[in-house]
Amino acid sequence: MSKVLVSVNILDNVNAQVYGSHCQEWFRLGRTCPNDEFILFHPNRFSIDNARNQAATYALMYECDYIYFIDDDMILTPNTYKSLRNADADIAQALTFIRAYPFNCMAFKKTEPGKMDYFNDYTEHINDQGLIECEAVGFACVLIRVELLRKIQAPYFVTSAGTTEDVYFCIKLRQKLGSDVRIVVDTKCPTGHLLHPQAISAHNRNEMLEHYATADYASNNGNDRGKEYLDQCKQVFLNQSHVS
Amino acid sequence: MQASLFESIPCQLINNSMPIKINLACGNNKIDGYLNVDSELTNNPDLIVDVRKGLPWVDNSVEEILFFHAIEHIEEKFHQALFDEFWRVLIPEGLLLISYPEFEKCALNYLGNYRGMREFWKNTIYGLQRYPGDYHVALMDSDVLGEKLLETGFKNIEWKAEVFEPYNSIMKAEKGPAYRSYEDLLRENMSSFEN
Repeated sequence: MSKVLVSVNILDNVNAQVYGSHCQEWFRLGRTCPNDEFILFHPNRFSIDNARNQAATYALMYECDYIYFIDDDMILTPNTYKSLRNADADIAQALTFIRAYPFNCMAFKKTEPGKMDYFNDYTEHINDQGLIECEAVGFACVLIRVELLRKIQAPYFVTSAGTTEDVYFCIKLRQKLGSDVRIVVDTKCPTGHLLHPQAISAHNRNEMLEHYATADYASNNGNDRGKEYLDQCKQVFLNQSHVS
Repeated sequence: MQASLFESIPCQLINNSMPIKINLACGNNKIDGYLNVDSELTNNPDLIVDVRKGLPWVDNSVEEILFFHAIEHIEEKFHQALFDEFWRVLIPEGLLLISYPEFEKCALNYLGNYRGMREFWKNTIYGLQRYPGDYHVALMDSDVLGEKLLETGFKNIEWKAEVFEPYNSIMKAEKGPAYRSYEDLLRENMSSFEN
């Protein structure tokens, strides 16, 4: 039997799609893991680093075995928790993409000593279990062993100019434990990260990249205002427009 | 045409023999057939003018003024004087084209993280801020701008979203008769009554 602290930091309110997805996950936690005990912790309007630190405090207080972090803009594959447990890693993330162009994979690989880069070529590194070994991951949907918290000093999660609070945690662990800490991404339970209004996931990332790369929003920094722009401006007034 | 510094001839206005077309605050976007004017020497314009200090052309001598994505870089305290100058130099029914980021659309896009490009929408509101002058210092609202141009003496004022960047607006206006306030009209009527 395992004891798991489930933490969703709710900043303001939760999208209806996300709410439905999380309800499904809670249902499945109960139905498919009857021997596990779950403690739900949903801080409201905490900053993300404070929320995670508070969750860590409670996880230690209640002698939990795992913390299951889920952000309030994540749509989950059913049975994500079970899949992450089966990964048998210190930190296991459900495959997630950052919800801003260019939708980088929320996982990092080591490039050279002391440096990391986004693991966007992750498809080339998936092992037989559908896992990717990483240097660090974001905690949008992640299962971490509480035992890790006993190996480093608090505060565990710190947001700074150079890093987010989740990557900070991973770096801190790496500095203390080196390769003894196993951090993976589980590609068998990909998430949807709420964009506006669609979610960005492994299934649509390439199409979204192509769309955003060709759209003027991504590439045009507004400098091309020559003859062609003038012609467009005059052309629009040949169509219906607001008149005063 | 070699750039000349307007400020070196502060008292002399340029008197063109024929109405000209001006691309004001052109930056690097030169357009053939237009006098490309900018305040920065590094942009190598045809003429260097700081529009906040007035326009160096005589009355009714300009056929068309383009002012693309520049108004938001000029503090609001200079706007009315600038609109007055536009009106002054344009010939009757001369064309003014102004484009700018539409604050409401940019703000809503930022707040809604539209297309996941929050940083981009922030830049549409505050400018890219790469160098002095690359900051947006005025909030642009088409309703307000249209009202100001109307009060300045422009007519047939229209605005529409740009084709490829619909969070930007393009406003077209024509020089109309001088704006007369209610008091002006009263005064005129009173004087004719007295006569």
